[in-house]
Order: sequence, then structure tokens, then C-alpha cells
Amino acid sequence: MNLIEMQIMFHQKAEAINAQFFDRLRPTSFEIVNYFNKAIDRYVRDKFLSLPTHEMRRNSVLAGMDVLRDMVEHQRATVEDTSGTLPFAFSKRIILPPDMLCLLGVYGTYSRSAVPPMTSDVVFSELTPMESARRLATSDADKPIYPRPIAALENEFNLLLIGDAYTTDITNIAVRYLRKHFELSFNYRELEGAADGADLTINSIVADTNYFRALAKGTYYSDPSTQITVQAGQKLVKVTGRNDMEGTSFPNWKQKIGAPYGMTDTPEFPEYMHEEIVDLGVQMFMDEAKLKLTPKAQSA
Amino acid sequence: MTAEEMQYNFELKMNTVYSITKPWQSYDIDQFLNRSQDDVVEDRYSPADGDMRNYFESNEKIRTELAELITNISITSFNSSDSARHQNGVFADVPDDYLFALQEECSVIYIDCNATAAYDYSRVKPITHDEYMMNKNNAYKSPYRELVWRMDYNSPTGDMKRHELITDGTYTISDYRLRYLRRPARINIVNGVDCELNSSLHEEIVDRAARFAASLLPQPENVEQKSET
Repeated sequence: MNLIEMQIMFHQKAEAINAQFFDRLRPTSFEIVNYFNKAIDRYVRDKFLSLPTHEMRRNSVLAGMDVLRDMVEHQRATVEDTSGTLPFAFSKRIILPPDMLCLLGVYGTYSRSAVPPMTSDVVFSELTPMESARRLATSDADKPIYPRPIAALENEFNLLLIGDAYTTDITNIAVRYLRKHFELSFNYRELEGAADGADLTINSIVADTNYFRALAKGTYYSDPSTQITVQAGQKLVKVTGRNDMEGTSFPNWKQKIGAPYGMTDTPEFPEYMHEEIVDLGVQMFMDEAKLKLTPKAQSA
Repeated sequence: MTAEEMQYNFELKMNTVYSITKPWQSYDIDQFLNRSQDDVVEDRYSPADGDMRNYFESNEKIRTELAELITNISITSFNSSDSARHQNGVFADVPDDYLFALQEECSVIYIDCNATAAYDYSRVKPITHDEYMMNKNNAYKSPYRELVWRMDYNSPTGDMKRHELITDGTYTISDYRLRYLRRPARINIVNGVDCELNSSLHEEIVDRAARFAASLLPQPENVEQKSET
């Protein structure tokens, strides 16, 4: 169900509940979209994130993956080497994505010198509270062994990836997380290639230096001279002078993008959930409407 | 097995390799491993087997297992002025890592019938203080040119032990050759000092260390069993 279909359903449901209310407080399209966005935020927060610990929130999100899968991002992390500045033999600070709601996993290419030796093995880190990670601190009396890296949230912006005394390197670090829902908006546009594998001209909806989202695998540029392979879901910035996105050669596969990045015209939930979002939006509208229609107490 | 592999193996047996709440530091594990190593050496040197005891070099297995610890030293400097000496005795300082003597021999100098200095080799016989008292004046059992008595004495400095070598006074000791079983070097995980015993013993050392460590962990309280109706 796209945004217009949801808006129509909103009108129908609100009028069915109380036509008088709806006529008197008829919301604009902008207001209805706002109710939908608030309904989505409330739904995600109440159903998955209102739990006291990160571990519980993460488990809740993983259990609800069928509903939340479109909001799961997976991206290469921005990393700062902190080895030597913290009491750990090896540590790297990961700058967390600003749109993250819940961290699901961190992994990277891991090497260690011994017990057991590893050379560039892909290893998933273990998420743990920072207080527990202190046991990996090295000292004159301790050379701890922990054969996989530990990820500990340092604060709301950073995550520490900590290795034991035998860790030699962790590279290609990627984070997998639940991000905020893209904002429902009538400003969102999608552009699709004319034929399978055909190039797509993107400058008609994406202005230079603005972000857009690839919705199919293709080829674009990270700067005017560097061509990169783009995966579906990847965030891209429009490079000045680069107006075409090359399509893939897969059969039945048209090149497609959405812009601006961070917006959408369809809730990122499975189709069967959309009506529930509309219901929640209508309920929020009616709750507010009741407050607006309560007569003021007459002054004596 | 290196020291770090021993730590890994120890933690594997304690089921703490993949636990972030590790109860033991490397230093603690060093203590367990070293205690276990000492126990293994002592057991191999004089193992109890029911009512019987086997002794070092009694079979090829034990000879091989402790072979790395057999060491030789030649002592040529003796203390002949200490007031604690017995008559005709001298003190020889044995090394810090000395554990058990395996074989002892002395080179002695005596004056032969042509009044010239001559050299000979003497056996060394360890005796107790009681034996000394009983036999010191026994012409058939007291030391002679081909027999030196050895008694044990402590050293005023550190852990070093002294051997008191006793002659009959007609010859002097020029060289005391001691072949002994030495104490194995301390395993140190942080500094990377590995166990120097034969590798066939490493697994047993870790096993014993883990058993000892497990005995120190708090045991779960007994759960009252439900009575069956």
C-alpha cells in the first residue's frame, strides 16, 4: 500500500468512526503523513525497543526480523584505531551510524597470532556491555585469551571493538543494525530504467551532492573518476557530471533508484502490516481530536 | 605446548575460553600450572603404585619423561672455614635449581708412597647424621681414598643447598662432579616461558592444574531432592 492508498484508507476509517469529528478537524495530507510517521515510530518503539537492556532489545528485534527486515542496514564501519590508548592490547573505535536504533552485529576480517592462530578469517564479534569487556584488559599479570573480538557500546556515538592479547588485526569492519524508518513523504520519487540492464539517467530527480538510494545492483561513481559497484539499498551521493547509473546485465532486472535518501512512499513493513499502521495513525488522530473538541470550562 | 597454548587448554577444560567472566588471570593459571608441573616431576621421580613404589630410571618411560631435567655440574670451590663443618669436611654449594642428586663423584689428591701428589677418583656416599655418628670412628665404614661421605646442609643465603663432603683427612677433594635432577623452570604465560618438560607430560600438567583450579571454585549448593510420592 503506498502513501496515497494509505491516506484514502485513513479518511475512510476516520469518517467511519466519527464523521462529525473528521469533518470539523479534517487533517491535511501533510498532517496525515505526519500521523503515519508517528505511528510507525510508536509501533517500532513499543513493540521492539521498550526493553531495559540492549541485549533484550536486540533479541526482540531479531525475533521480529520478519517485520523489520527492510529496516536492517549493513554497512562498512568508520573506524578509529585506539590500540595503546585504552587498557586493551587491541581495540578499535567504531563510529556508529546516526540513524541506528539497535545494533545487531559487528563483524570483520580477523587475524591473531596464536591460540588459535587466524589469518584474515571473517569473524562475528560478541556484543557485551562495556563493564564485562574489562576482563580483556591486559596487564603485567594477565594476558587474556578470547578467540573472537568483543563489541562493547562505549556511548551513544561509539562502539569499541576489543581484541585479546593475541589479536593482531581486525579490518573490513561492518556493522549490521536496525535503522530508523525512512520518513513517509510525498516528496519521494523513484526512477526506473526503460529496459532490463539499461542505463538510468538520474539527474531528473537527484540534484548534485544530494543523496539517493540504489534499489537495484548497478554501477555508479564515488567521485568523478572512480567507478564503483553499487548494491541494492546502498546510500549514494550524486556526483557532479555523473548523470547515468549503469544497469546490471541480470535478466528481468531494471535499474532503479529512490530519492531523496531517507524518504519513502511505502512503509518499510510487510504489506499485511500497512493497515495496522493506518489504524494506529487513525487512533492517534482520534485521541488528539478528542482533546481538541473538549469544551472549555465556562468561567464563572 | 607453549605457555599460551597451555593457558588455552586450561581454559578449554575449565570451560572459560568463550566466557567473558573469566575467574582466573594468567598469573593465577601460572600458579596452577607450576604446582602441577612440580607434582608431575615428583611423581615421576618416585611414583607410588599401590603399595609399590617405582623409582626414577626404573623404566624407559620415566627416564624419557624427565630426561630434560638431568644436569651436570663440576664444583671446584669449597668452603673449608665454616664452623658448622664436621671434622675433615668441606661445604660445596649446589645450584639453585638442584632438586635430587642422581650421581656424585669426586677427584681427590693424595700423597703417594713416593711423597708425590697423586690423583684418584672417589665414590660419594650420601649418609645420614645418625650414620655419621655411628660410623665416624669405625675403620671399616668411615671414608677412605675411594669413598667420600656426603651429608646435607642448608645455605645461609637463599634457597641454595649445601653438600658437606667428608674425607678421612688423608686426601683433599679437588673436584666434586654432581649429576642431578633440576627443578623445571617456572612456566610464565605473560613472559612467554614455556614448560620445558617432555611434551608427553604437557597434557597431564594442564589436566592436574584444571582439576586443582576447579576444586577452588565455589561449588553449587546442594539442591534438595524432591521426595517421590
